[in-house]
Amino acid sequence: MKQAIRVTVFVTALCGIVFPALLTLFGQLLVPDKAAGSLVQENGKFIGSELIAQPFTSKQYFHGRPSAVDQLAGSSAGDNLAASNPELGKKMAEFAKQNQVDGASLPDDARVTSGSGFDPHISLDYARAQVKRIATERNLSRDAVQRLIDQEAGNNQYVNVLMLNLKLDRSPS
Amino acid sequence: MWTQFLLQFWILLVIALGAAVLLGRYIGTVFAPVGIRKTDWIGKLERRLLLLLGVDERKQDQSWVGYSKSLLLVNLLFFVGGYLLLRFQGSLPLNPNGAVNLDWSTALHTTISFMTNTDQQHYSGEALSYLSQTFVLGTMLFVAPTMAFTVCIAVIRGLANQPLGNFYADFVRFILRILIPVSFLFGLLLILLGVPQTFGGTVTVTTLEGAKQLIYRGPIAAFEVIKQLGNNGAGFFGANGAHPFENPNQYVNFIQMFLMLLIPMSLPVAYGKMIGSAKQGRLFLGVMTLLFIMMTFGMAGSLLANPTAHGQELRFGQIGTILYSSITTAAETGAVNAMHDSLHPLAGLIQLGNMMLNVVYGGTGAGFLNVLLYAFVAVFLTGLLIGRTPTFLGKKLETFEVKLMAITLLVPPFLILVGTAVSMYVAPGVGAISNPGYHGLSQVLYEFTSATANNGSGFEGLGDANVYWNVSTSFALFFGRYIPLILMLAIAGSLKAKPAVPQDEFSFKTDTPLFGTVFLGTVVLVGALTFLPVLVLGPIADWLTM
Repeated sequence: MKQAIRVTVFVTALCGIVFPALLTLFGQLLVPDKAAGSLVQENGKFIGSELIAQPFTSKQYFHGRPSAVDQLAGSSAGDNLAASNPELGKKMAEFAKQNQVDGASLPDDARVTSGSGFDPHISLDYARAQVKRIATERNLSRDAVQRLIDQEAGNNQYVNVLMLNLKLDRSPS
Repeated sequence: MWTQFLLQFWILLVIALGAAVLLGRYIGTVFAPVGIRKTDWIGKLERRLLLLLGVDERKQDQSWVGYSKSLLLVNLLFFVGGYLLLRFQGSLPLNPNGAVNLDWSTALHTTISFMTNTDQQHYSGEALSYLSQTFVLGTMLFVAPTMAFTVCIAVIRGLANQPLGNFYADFVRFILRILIPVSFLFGLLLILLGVPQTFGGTVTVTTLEGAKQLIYRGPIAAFEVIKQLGNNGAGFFGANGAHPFENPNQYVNFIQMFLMLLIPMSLPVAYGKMIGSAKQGRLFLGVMTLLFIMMTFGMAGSLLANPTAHGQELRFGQIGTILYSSITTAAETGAVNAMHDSLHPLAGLIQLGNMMLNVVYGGTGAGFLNVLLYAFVAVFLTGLLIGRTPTFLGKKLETFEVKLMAITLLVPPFLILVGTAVSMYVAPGVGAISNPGYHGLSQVLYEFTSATANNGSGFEGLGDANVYWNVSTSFALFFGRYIPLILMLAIAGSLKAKPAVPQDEFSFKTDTPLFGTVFLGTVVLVGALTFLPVLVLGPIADWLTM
């Protein structure tokens, strides 16, 4: 019994206190911004995290993927509809209607919810489908908007919505 | 897409196997019985530390009964402590987000779930304080895999005809030599790659459109790394590895998959080293890998033919989702980077298959114990066919062992099938189902399979956050874990006590391709015969009626 208690206390102290404390310390020293959650600042104020989707509804911004949760305050989750659930088709039609852009057929990621509800990215196809609307709203040329997408996406097949919208706000119109 | 899949798959497999062979040899060396182990300088420090804790390894070899008792005692201490801390987290420190006390059934389920290395979660991670996440559950993420690991090592020692060893020494040594250093190294890497590690609490930001957004943060990297390395699988957040803070990019995704595979793959190598036949270890590793390749190809087939972004995150791509979903169920981790409920029914079939077989690597320690169990069964069946007493590594498997083998083999199907059947019959069981048709049965079946196999992932649409589900799955979690552990120790203890039969040309050879085939056949037949009917009614019917 004495052995069991001593070993339990030792292991708990090591794994539950020393380990996370050391890791936190090293994280703060090496990459404080990443360790704090990759928060994004604009004019001295935190406007979000690069990794976390925020809801965009106005016409002058790129919209993100549909989410099963309230992105402003909710816990993370998917909608957990089965592929065979008839509800899924209805939901897809609904999202398509919400996000429909100049009648173009929308890619899959614009019509179905993500796994976490906080997917910060959209596909390049979905971004392209929104170019015309944003160019009109902001008096920008479509080429200019498309260039921003290409810049932000790099070699990826997807693009970060918050960072792309920040680029939009920063670009002179 | 297939080319890309194959490329990523082979790269991951080769890297993981390479690292696992090195780790396996290391484990085989440092966990050799006290009598024959060479002591290095770390060993000397370790001995001092153990003496301070009151453990003198050289004088305190334990019988299988003593080893089991010590193991259960330590588990009991963690159960009681963990339960109380979760029940009263609201009034304890390190609670910047104001999490409230868990109710009794959630606290009970969570404690059992974490201590059995399952980490099935009926709460959302956002509902816990940092004290609960880091100190309580974070510690359990180290302790739980160690339990099955120590049993596995003791059983291997017994098979090698050596003393079983001392539980406390094995417990401390595994954490000190393997879990902590590897976790620290990869934990740092995760932070560098963008996984947060902070006690700073939730921040409120003003979005570009002017709304207030709450961003939950926390000491995530420390949690994440041991969750994968120890095949725990608990999510810091509700969405688990799909959440961008837990798994921010493809590199982190890759590291997580690597960590899940590392220890389960290394144990057959350690086994080979400890029984003095590397060939036998390679044979098991080979068969497990073959099963893993087949299952993962099945997963790729179902998802590449039906590509979707539903329940998935774009940054991993279809392939990142396929590999992760297969590995997490194969290595019994239970972390998810996509919502398994929303994947194609055949993907669900593969996931269920991985968990039901529970030897496609399997979790830390527990997986390899299952491999040994199936190997005993294969030897026994062969013995029946040719009418001779079966022997394994020169030890006779007789009535006592065969009885225990049969019980160990029957416990998981009993818990899974009876649990599912009862839940399909009672109101709170059926009431939890969220998807119509055959998929509803899959949801219930998945929950009990995941609990029994100590996996912990779920078809998360299931409304399981209530007393019925907390209590019913607690049974599956508890017995699915401890009965096999204790019975395997008993088998090893009994085999060790028997005189070895001299090996001759008529002895059972358990390191040949022929035995590998018999072993594979046993795994597939026993698994398929037990679960085929319910799989037909669940995922297969779901697929055929889509």
